[in-house]
Amino acid sequence: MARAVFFAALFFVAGCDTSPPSSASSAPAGVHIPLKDIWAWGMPGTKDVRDLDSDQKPLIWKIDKALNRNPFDLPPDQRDAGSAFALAGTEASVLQDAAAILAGEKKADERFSTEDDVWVCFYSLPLGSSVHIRDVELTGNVVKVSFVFFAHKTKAITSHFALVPLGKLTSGKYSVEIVQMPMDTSDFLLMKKLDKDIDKEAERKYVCKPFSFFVD
Amino acid sequence: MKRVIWCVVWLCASTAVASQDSIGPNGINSEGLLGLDGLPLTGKNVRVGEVDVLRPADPDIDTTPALRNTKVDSAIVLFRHPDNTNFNATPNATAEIIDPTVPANQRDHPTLVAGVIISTDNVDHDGVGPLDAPLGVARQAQLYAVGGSLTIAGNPYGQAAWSTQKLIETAPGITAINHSYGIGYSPAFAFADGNSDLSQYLDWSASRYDVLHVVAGNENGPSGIPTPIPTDQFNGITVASSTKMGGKYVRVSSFNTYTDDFVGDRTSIHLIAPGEAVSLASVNNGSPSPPPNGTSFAAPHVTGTVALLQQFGQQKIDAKAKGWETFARAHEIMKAVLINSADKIADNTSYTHPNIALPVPQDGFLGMEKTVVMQNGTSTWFDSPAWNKDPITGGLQPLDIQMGAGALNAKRALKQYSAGDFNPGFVPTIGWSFTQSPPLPGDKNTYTFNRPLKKGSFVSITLAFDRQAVFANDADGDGVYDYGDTFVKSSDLGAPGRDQLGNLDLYLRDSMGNIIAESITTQDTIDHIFWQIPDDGKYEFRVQRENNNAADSAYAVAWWALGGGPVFTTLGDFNFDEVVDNGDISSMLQALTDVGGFQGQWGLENSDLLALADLNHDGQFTNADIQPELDLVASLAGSGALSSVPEPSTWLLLAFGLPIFKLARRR
Repeated sequence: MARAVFFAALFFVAGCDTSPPSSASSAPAGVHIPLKDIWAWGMPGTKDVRDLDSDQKPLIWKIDKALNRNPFDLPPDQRDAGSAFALAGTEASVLQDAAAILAGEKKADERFSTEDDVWVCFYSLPLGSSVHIRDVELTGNVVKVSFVFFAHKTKAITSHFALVPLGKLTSGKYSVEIVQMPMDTSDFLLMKKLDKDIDKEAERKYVCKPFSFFVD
Repeated sequence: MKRVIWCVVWLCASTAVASQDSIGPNGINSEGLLGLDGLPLTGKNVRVGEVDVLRPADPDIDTTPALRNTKVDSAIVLFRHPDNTNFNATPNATAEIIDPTVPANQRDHPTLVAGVIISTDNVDHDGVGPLDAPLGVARQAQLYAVGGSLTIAGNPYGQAAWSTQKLIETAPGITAINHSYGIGYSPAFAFADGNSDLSQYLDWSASRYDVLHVVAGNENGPSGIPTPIPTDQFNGITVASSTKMGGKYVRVSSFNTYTDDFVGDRTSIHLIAPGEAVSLASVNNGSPSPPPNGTSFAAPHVTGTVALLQQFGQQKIDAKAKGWETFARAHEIMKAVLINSADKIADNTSYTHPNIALPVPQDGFLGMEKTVVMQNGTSTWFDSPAWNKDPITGGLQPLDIQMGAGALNAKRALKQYSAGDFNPGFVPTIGWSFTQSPPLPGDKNTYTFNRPLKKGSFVSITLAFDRQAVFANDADGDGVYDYGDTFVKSSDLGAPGRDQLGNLDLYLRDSMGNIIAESITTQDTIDHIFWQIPDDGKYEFRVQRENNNAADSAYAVAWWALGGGPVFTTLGDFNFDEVVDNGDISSMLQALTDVGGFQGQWGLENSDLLALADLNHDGQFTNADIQPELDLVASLAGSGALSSVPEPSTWLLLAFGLPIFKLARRR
């Protein structure tokens, strides 16, 4: 525990400019996970998750296929994005596990040990806007993943995917919140039709949902 | 010598293994289509364009290996000048370059789109699954591209229009321009009503420069920031995405959306084309893994196909083929041909549907290769409001909101286009016509099929004409668009655009004059009939003018039907106008110079030919039939038999010397 507190403090003092935190759960104030420590697909400021895959990118293709499921082939109650999830392991192993979970080959664990390096898998389904993580903050036992819809301007569809390192965590129940930040509708190309910069309906359909997990 | 042999082997091998599903038989079927010279059509020497958020990478300019693709080589890329209004075709010190800090999905997008049209990359980059090299549709087309204009401050509609205008001015004769971007509403709370200056500019420039604009359709996204402009343009083609089902691109993609479709009864989508799992050539001479999807990549399949048709058309024109003049490359013809030849239902005599009344005979679906289904994976054309014989609403919606007329099929489009041009009158079962619209409301042009149509088969007819966009403010008065110029907005709030088009309608009639089917929308510049023939017999279709809301314009109509009997012939009526007169003599002489071509043009079997042309009843069509034809013409004119007949060679000289006079041609 002492080591955990030490690392958390070190991480916080370092201005979030270190490697993934080994533990941060008891930080009194929020600890921000730097974007540059997040492995992601198509999110500015993050590391390209394709670099974790082998040459032919089989896992990336597998994830892409899983995220590109056709909602019209699913029952109406299963057409939303589903929940984000946690997983444990090394950089090398979590991509493989995440691909298997997204592809429905295995279920996500809900319980982890204090010795595990825990990650959160965040994702979005194919959409005419990008979904960018803007911030990840760990405050006590709450992980807040803040994202924003970012319009493409092109007529391309993209899905997005991120592995957020939380490191080793102290025991307890953790809640992962998915929080939408206001869209930048000041862009002259995107004169908004509706007077809203938060779209909960799009979030429900296309962005993974909050969830919780336990560390024992 | 050894190197030569090795190269040949390598070329054969690479050609043999390289394929791209979206352009093969599972997709738009554009690969291996042959031109008049017997060589594959590649779009060679045809100018096409791309307007995008940024410009594509250009190996002639970009030097950073990670930001170029030597297999996607545009002819010209335009650069924005620092004053934000002028464009240069060569880089300068402050010219926009590929910026590595721009998010990759925006930075690479123009290159991905360009690659769908012109990529020569035949490498299977991913090595996963079926070979899928990112080859383009028209690999020898000359791509002119412009970008950057949508990333600077100002009026975005004007910037996009100005970019397009500069592209057109830089590439005279450009035939089609791809637009795989979208802009939001201005002002907020507006609708897709065709009134934006960009949508109007596309309509204006289509008419002014005879160019087909191809626009990527709408997609899902947060509702606060839709980007539907310019999907609401009238004179071009707006394309939705298709995805694979059963290994073929036949299903409307789930991400196509219609909440920002054109207001009123008009629908925005004209065609679907592959937009998912398309092999794409990206920067760094690679292929993104995995590639993005979207209507962005559906539209350039259409643009590339236009390049193939244009190449074929130019070959016909260069060969001075009968009926092929420069107007044969008109954008209205391209539009009518592409839409009319789209796949709806795969040809299959066992096909049944509760909404069709009769069994379908062999070839009754006109050789269509795919059965297109909507987003739900089951509904077809026959479940669409566009297939509606209700006497009140029938014909008011020519196209389906999801699939338009169906799936782009380049092979069928080439067959449709190569059938050639015909004037109103008797026409073969497949062809097209490009002519001036009837001048007054109620006036009509009638086309009569020259053989009976087969019961249970389908007939497809598509009519395309232009909305007339006019300047509200042409600041310098030069009649050419400049940044800041504006267009007159439609004042018809119920059906925007209706007051700016001289509406034409389409009717299919039987031999008794009964209307069998109609396409009579007043709100669009497209009419489309796809209808089952109720009985064997004689049929005609009419293009009828309904109002004078806009000035006269040309129209193109394309048709495809299944004949069910011998051609309706009158002995000696070589031009099929139902009158044997002097006009038939030149047609006869031309037919004698190329009997096979004449048969092909009119769809004549040998028995049809003899019924038409064997005037001396010797069982052959030869020069010996000329004198009997002259005698017949003279007798019908009441002037007695001609006493002397020039030698056949003299007739041939006369025939070639005759000016080919075509009434009412616009171009």
